[in-house]
Amino acid sequence: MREALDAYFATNPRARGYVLDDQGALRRHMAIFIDGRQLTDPVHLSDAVAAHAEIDIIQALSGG
Amino acid sequence: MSPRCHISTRKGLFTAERGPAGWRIAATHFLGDNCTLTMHDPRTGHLFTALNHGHFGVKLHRSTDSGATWTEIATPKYPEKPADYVPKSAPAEGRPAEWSLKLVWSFAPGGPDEPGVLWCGTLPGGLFKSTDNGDTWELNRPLWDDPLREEWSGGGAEEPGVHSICVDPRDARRIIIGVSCGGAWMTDDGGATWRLSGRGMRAEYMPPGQEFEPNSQDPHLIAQCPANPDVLWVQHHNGIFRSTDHAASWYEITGVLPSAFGFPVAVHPQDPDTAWFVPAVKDEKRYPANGRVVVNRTRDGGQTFETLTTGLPQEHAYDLVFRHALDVDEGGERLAFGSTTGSVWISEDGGDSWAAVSEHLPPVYAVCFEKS
Repeated sequence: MREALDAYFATNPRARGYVLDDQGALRRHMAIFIDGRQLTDPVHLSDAVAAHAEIDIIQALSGG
Repeated sequence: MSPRCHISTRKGLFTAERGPAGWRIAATHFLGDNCTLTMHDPRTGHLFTALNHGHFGVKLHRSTDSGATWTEIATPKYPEKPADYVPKSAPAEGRPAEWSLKLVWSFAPGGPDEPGVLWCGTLPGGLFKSTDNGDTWELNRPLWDDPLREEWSGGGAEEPGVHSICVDPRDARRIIIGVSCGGAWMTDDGGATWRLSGRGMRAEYMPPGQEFEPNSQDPHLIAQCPANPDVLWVQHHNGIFRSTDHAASWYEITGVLPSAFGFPVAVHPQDPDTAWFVPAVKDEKRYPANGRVVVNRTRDGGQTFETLTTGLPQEHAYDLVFRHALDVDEGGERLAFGSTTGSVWISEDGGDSWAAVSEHLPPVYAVCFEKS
């Protein structure tokens, strides 16, 4: 997952700070789904991503 | 006198202007976004505002045309924490600070002889400097790497933060910052070296014997008199403190009614003996005493206070005023303050009388006059 995000941020650097915090972890109120399954490692983003996987990066439900 | 005041709120930035018929909201920016702080740089006229998006974190925007257009600029970013990092000192609350920006809590322009220099204080305790009007920011490592920094604790928030930055108008290398909770820190060399300077502040929330520990103090805001920068006023968690020796020592001012508790303080730009406070019931309650919104003013260095009420609600008013939500303009006659209930009042006679600009804004975090 980290590699996939880095590849995207290379084309849109400003998006990085919207999705990840200063230490590179997923922001607390952001969510990532890989082929419909929620990311399991929001700190290190070590989840595997298949070659043609669909990744959704969305605003998490928070604060009611 | 300043004709414009910027009001940072939970749902956007509002600009009040003085017209022939008085003050009115003349412009809105970032409507719906959580706007936590705004600064006007008198050297350039630039405006800087901090937005704290729930999902996307903190972002900074700059306007070079008085708010007509805004550009997103760099956000202060903490450096990568080394994987083998070991804290140099035990954190006060047993949990080390994260190295990730949580809130922009203070802004200050550098000196007149430092074009482009800006300072930015943050949660969880980092002080950042820009030398290019906010295009880039760098963490001040001498302060961040000080072992005593790791003993700071959160005040109202979970993380400690730098909420006050006082740049000495005589010498911009001399800076005093306020930290909740970490007391007052000062540098004489532009941030290369720092020392703790909270001697004399008193913290009731510390166990017996530790009340005067400088690094545990919770100054809510520190204000420096521009005309006499050796005089500083502090609205502290446990009362009002003052220094007349450039923060070498502090002394407590007691007997203040209706309360010595509060968050903001403003000092007169020319008269170091004149300061304004907005008192509240301490400490767990935090509402105006007796449901009356009042401003306390001293004009004799804290020996006596007048409680000013003209134009302010005097029954069932529960407006709390946060630390950055009181400001005085460069003339010392115009003051503004805003509340958690969305009220903003402005005085044009040093606080003798007040007029409401609005009583229906979102919760107000900060007010800021444009100064020349």
